This record gives sequence, C-alpha cells and structure tokens, in this order.
Amino acid sequence: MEKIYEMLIELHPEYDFKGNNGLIEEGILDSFDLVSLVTMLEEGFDVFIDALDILPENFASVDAIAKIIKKNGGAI
Amino acid sequence: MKYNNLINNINTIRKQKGHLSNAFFAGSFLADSLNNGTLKGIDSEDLVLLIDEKPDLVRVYFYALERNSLQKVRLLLSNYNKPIIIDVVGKDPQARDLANILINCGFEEYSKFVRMVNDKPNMPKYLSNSKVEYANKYDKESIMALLYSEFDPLFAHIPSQSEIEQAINKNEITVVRDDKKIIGLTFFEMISSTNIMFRYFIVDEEFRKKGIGGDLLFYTFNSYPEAKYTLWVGTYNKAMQKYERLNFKHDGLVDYILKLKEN
Repeated sequence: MEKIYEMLIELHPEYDFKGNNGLIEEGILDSFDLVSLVTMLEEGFDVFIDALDILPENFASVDAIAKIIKKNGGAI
Repeated sequence: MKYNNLINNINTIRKQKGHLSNAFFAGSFLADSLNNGTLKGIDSEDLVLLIDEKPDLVRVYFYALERNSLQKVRLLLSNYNKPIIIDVVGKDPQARDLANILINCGFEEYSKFVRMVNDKPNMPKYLSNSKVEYANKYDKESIMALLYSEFDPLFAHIPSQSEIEQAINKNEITVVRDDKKIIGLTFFEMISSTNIMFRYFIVDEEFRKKGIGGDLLFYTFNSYPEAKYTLWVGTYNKAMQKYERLNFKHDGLVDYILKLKEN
C-alpha cells in the first residue's frame, strides 16, 4: 500500500491521501493524472491494466487501486 | 461488443514499452463513445485512431506502437475534408517530445495552452458593479454566438447547444447584460464543491476595460470561497499575466494543439 501512496504523493504532494475515498469524485485526480498513475502502477507493480478497467471507481481510493492491482496479478 | 477488436488492439499497443498516445479516456467513456458512435475507430496493425468529428474539425486521439506508426495518420484520415487536430496534453519535456514527433509526421503547432490553478484567489480590484446573474434557458444561442465570436473552434472545444443547456441547468454559467444583450460570461464546471474548472471567461470586446470581467470573477470567487480554481489559458496573448495577478499559477501541464498541414 505504501508504494501506492508514494505514487499518489508524487503526483500531488499537496494532498493527504490517507482515508480519502473520493480521489476522482472530488477532482483530486483528473483524467491526466489517471493516465500518469496507470503508467506508474503498470511499471511499479509489473501489471497491465485493461483500457476498459480504467474506471473512476477503480481509482477512487488507495484500497480500490490496490484491488485493481491485485486483480491483475500484482503483489501489494 | 462490436468494438472488441479495437479495444484488444488498443490493449496490445498499450502493453508495448515505448508506445505513444494522447488519449486519456476512462474505460466507461471509451466504451460508451464507441457504442453510441461519438467516437469512431480506425484500426491498423500498429496504430489505432479514435475520431471525434465535430462540425468545424476532426479531433483525433491515437495509440501508436512506435513513432513511425504515426506516419500513417495522414493516409488514414484522407477521407476527412475538415481541419484535423491533435491535442497533446502532458508535462514537458514528454509532451513537447510527442508534439515534435507529430510535427515530423506532417503536423504543425497551431496553438499552445497551459493549465493554471488557484486555491487562494486575489479578488479582482477593478469592478464596475454590474449585475451578475445566472444564465437562463433563453440565453443558449447568445452564449453560443459569444463563444464563437471570441474563440477559435479549432482549439476552444466549443460546447454543443445541449452542453450549454446542461450547464445553464446546473447554474454553471453567469452573465452580465447590457440592456438584454449578454456582454460577458463565465462558464465553469463544478467538478466538486471545492474544485471548479473555468471553461470560458469572456467580455465582449466593446465592453472591455470597464471592470465587467472583475465583476464576473468576483461573483464566482465570492460564491465559492473555499474552492480551488483551474483554467487553461493560451500562451499567445497576455491573459496569462492577468490570471497571475489573481494568484493563478501554472501547474506544469501544457496542451500542444497540432494541426495536420494541408497537402
């Protein structure tokens, strides 16, 4: 989980991501961040995220991100 | 799903290290847009183009296996008789590099925008105390006319009548009138209660330097004092300096707008 936090902080050092379940809804991550985050996650966890899985709900929180990494065979 | 092959090809390209793309779609948006025909796909082995055809232009998103794959863009789009536009949004130097690759494939830089953010706006000092009010459903056509009079449709992402209608219904357009004529407007998007994106901010040329722009911004800043504000501004004029005076700062994101050169 720590690795996911590090990636999010790299994108937005100004936010406290802990316990936030509205990363997309609150506009903390926008569509441009999402593209960067997907690339970081794919490289950092050696996984591939299907284009149709790049959904707001899969990136709404650190837990949701961890879930999509695990679904694609990544180790958290 | 009728677009399965296209998605498979996009995924195949995305799996390759060094692939290139200017697309930033959520999966649901991509699926819906292909399903309802808003986006059309052109699929070749090492290049997928997603075409968003507008009345004035053709906007193109791509997934390319490598830089040479983009040499095919002109050929694949030869049936379109409208300006062909590609936006490259990102941070430099990556965005600049991708823009340069497209320039080597027959595109030219048409315009460049930067994104500015502001979480503590300075209130505008120059005001005229004009009456600012929310637009109503009868303003749709005047708003559209003002947008077209002020912005180049090739880069302004001018909204459709239905998008304007939705924004009016959500109280996302404020206007100032002279008699009944709209002479200034702000068109914003409430991403959340604390996150507002300014899409357009216009004062009719004839009514500038009177403080009307200040009134419009004051109204929004005052209505949502806790919000973070974001906007895109062209680097081709002095607007950027005006926004800096209001405490907007460039956040590093740039948008290179590239146009396919005519043969």
